[in-house]
Amino acid sequence: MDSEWLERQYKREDIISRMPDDVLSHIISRLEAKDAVKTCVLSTRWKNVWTLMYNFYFNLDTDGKGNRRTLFVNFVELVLRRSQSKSIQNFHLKTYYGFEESDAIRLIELLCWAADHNVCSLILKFFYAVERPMIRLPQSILTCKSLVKLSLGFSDFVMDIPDCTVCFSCLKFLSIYIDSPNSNSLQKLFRSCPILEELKIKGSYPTPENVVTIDIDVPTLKKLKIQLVIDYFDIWLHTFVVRASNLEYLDLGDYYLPSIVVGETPFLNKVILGNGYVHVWLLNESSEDEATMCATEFFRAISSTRFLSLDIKYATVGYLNGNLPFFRNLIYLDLGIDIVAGFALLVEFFNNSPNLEVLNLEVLGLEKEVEEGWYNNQFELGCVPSCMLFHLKEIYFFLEETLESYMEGAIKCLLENCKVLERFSVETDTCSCTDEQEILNRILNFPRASPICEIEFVDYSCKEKLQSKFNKYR
Amino acid sequence: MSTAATADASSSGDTTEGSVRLLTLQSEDGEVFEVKETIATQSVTIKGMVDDDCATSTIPVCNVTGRTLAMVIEWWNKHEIGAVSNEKELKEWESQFDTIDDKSDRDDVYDLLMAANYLNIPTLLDCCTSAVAEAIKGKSTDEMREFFDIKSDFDEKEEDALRKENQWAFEN
Repeated sequence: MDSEWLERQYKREDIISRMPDDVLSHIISRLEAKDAVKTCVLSTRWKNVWTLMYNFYFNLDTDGKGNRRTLFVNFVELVLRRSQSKSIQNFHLKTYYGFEESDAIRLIELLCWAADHNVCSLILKFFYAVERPMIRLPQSILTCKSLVKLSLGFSDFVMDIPDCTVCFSCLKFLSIYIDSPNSNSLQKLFRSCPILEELKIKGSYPTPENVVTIDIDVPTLKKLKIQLVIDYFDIWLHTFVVRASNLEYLDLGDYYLPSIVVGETPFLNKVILGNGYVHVWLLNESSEDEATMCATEFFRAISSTRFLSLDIKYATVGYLNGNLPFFRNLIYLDLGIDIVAGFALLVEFFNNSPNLEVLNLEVLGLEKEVEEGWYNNQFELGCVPSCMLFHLKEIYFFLEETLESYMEGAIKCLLENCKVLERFSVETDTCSCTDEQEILNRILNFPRASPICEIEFVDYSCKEKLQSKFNKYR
Repeated sequence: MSTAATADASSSGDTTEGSVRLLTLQSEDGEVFEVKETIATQSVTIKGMVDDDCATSTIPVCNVTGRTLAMVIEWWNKHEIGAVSNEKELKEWESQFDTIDDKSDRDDVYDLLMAANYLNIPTLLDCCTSAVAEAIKGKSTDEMREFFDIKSDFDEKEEDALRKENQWAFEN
């Protein structure tokens, strides 16, 4: 046997063409439709191999002369017409180029073919070349019993959910794009998915005429991500009401907290708020009391989470202080604050998170012009929080400005009080002049409550590593 | 090569090691391997046999040589839950099968691909099909023929007709 194998090594032999159809269908199904079809001219063996593929990936990534989009639709039509697959898995169609109405209607009709062939994953990302388009999904997609994943992008796809027919009976992942929000139809859509686990809402749209309330009432939901691009002066016109008692993951990106109402979420594991911005400041429509109440309510609702990423570096959050709930399960805190809010919020997190193990802290310093005295940048602990005595093992300290003496004070206080600390990392990219070198030397000589604590100086790339690690935590 | 692979030709079928049942697999060229049932059932085909109580005597694995079967068993051992501590380590180990750019790797991947298809091992099938698909991606037809040693048996007219019919796929 080995000698035959050796022989094969030296003889140039076309092994791949001798493989059975089912193996070739697996290979060809991993390719973009365009690459798969190209194999038809290799030899007579390959002439029809591509018609066996069960995944369909169509991309229009370069746009050329006028009728290219029409030719693309012709190609999709040809591929589906020639396909021999009885059952397909993925049907993905993506393009950034807007379609004329006639081409878009043809594409949508082709979706019925996918529904008839038991498609599992359907991704549609394209738009009309007309303003405020309405793309209506065919009924057979809504009632398709094999569909597990549906992702719609770049356009607001209209779905006419019938009242008495079961829709999306197997759908677990849904991603939608909103450009003209309609509370009623969205509510109807979410209610019609009996086993939905993951929901992503993206969108970007002009100011709505009336207040929009989007009700997400999905008891089976485990993961929710909302990413809207809206003019923040109009943000108060939106309210999301989330009732998902099995929720484990919540990512609200940049959002105006008083607009989000979250019900009980006892199984929450990870919450992400803000990628640089969380709009928690006051708008003229709500008073400070009202904002405080909303934010307090919100934090209480998510207080069972184990991982929290809260980036409020650029927001005024004074009214959060003193209103944080008890984070009984919190073990990982990724916190971005500015020095104006002071370290008070951080201290409150320490006091209210008895099981905290990892702190990833990013501090935005002050511009020099701001007068000292009107803000409090002192890091002051009352009695030592229990997380510092028993659990806090890792601290990462990132600075957006140079290392000032008040930061030094905070670092000293942390090192003096964290009894089980194993690792203390300080970002030193911003420390270049000799003064700062002295500060670093002083940090190394601060007394440490934990005998096993290592101090290390890292660069900003460490922040990215931590971020990707955080995203991976389940 | 692997701890679960022994070449004891006299053993037959249904033996146990502790509380774990051992299955006996025989390659096309007569090599015999004893494999824990919990590991071998990563093959959907073998799992079907176990579920139907058809795995009590030696299981012949036709079309798969002893050399390839030993590699398959190594794959199973690595993919047993808890065998490798982290995902990264596993991916690194798998990377030896995820490309066929080097001619010397190619035959192993082809052999494993056929075995993965016959035994229906989704993880291995995924890895090997992806290796071949990656090699096809972005190549012109001439480059594909050169890479895979495929000889065209079309006459020029036929090939031109096919190119015309599927014109869109050949434009860039």
